[in-house]
Amino acid sequence: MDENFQYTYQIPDLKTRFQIGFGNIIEQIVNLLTYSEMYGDTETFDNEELKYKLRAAIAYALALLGSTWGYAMSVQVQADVETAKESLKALFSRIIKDSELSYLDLLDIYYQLIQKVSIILNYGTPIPRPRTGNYEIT
Amino acid sequence: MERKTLYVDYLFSSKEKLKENLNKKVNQIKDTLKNVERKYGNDNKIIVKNSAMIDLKESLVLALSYIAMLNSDKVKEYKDEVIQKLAYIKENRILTLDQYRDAYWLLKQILEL
Repeated sequence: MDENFQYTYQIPDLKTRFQIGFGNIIEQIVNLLTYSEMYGDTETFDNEELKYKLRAAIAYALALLGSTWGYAMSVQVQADVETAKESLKALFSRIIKDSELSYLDLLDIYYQLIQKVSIILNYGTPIPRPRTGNYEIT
Repeated sequence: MERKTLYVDYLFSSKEKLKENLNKKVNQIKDTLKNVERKYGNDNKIIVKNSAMIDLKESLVLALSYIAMLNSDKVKEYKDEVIQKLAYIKENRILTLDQYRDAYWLLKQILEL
């Protein structure tokens, strides 16, 4: 092996990984909503599949919010993160507890999910929080 | 085939980009409407399905994401209408020309928000 060979591949940070995961699951939801039941497809996709994907998307969204910890944020953004977290938890809980959710309800949950996440994602590029305090290992 | 990275890109960049793509899709719907009207006139017995319907469904889902990102109190009625239309399409799978045109006008209004 060439000793001068250097890895240039960078492992994405946690936030980026959660962003990609969230984006992928959202795409699956959109594809489900867009392409199902077309071209003579007689099978209607069931709400369970949509519910399952929404649950995964909410879990990713929560992880994404969690991964913003350690970044410098204004007081307003911190408050927005906290509010979004509580709203997402409520959405998750609604999916788990309410077995009677209709297609309309699930579309509404999708809408709220995008709304909550976009509040946080549009605040700009985060700046690493400067380290303060005592980090000495004793 | 166009790479489907729309949502990852849009959701993490800007609502302007999302709007731009919605606009492109709505223009495709406008072309479809023109073609159908040229071919069949205004006959409301004409039903729209398959690829034209996929364009519409994709546009409605994009529109739903777009208005969610606007995060404004003014969008509630649009949100409800988009959701109702998607549910109607899921249930019925086809639309008459009038219904298709109506959905097109809804999307046009959303683009002006």
